[in-house]
Amino acid sequence: MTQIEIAEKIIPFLVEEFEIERELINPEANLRDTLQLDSLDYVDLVVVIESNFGFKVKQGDFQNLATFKDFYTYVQGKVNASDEASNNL
Amino acid sequence: MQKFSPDILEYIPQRPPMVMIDRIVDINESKVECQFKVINDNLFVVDGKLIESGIIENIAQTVASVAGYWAKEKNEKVNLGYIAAIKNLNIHALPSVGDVLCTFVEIVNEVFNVTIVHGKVICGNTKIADCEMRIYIADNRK
Repeated sequence: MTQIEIAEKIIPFLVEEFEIERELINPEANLRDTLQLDSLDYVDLVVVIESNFGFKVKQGDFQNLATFKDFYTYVQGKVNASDEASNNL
Repeated sequence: MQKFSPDILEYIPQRPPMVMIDRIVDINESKVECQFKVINDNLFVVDGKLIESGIIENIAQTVASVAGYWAKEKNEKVNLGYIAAIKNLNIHALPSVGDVLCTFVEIVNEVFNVTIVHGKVICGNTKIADCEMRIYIADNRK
């Protein structure tokens, strides 16, 4: 899955869940500031990720994610790792 | 006086007059149904009606009963839970004194130390309320 595919899939949910303008989401924008995340919003974000991409987010996974690009890279890594694990079965 | 089952106090941390469920009707690891009769001297009854905050507390205590029940079954100390957020709350009607509420809670997700549940309150054929609730679970077993 490419980062563009991930962005296209996740952005509509972010717009709806966090009630922000689509135009504010770009790869270099700060994830926390743009979505105005507090600690409970992170829970919502995890729910969005898990329900859309089917992997379990671990506590601490977001610590090094600053921008949306970092976020897409993180999701891409998890999705592709999960796909590889499935193919090796 | 409220006629709650004596057992219910073993499953939830609240004590009278803050007890807002009478008994557990059905339970498994992720779902529970509780019953509660609205009485006139309930703290949350105003002008003969159970007000919104009482309905929310009823749902929250129903959530607590799941954790309390299974902790007791496993002979473990139960972690305390706190309402962290309520989403998509719909109050459709306010129950009257004498009504018996059936409250259904299902755990839909657990993210880190937050449990996400869906709660629904029914009275007879009338839907009273529904919401999504996030419960912060404090690990007090240490």
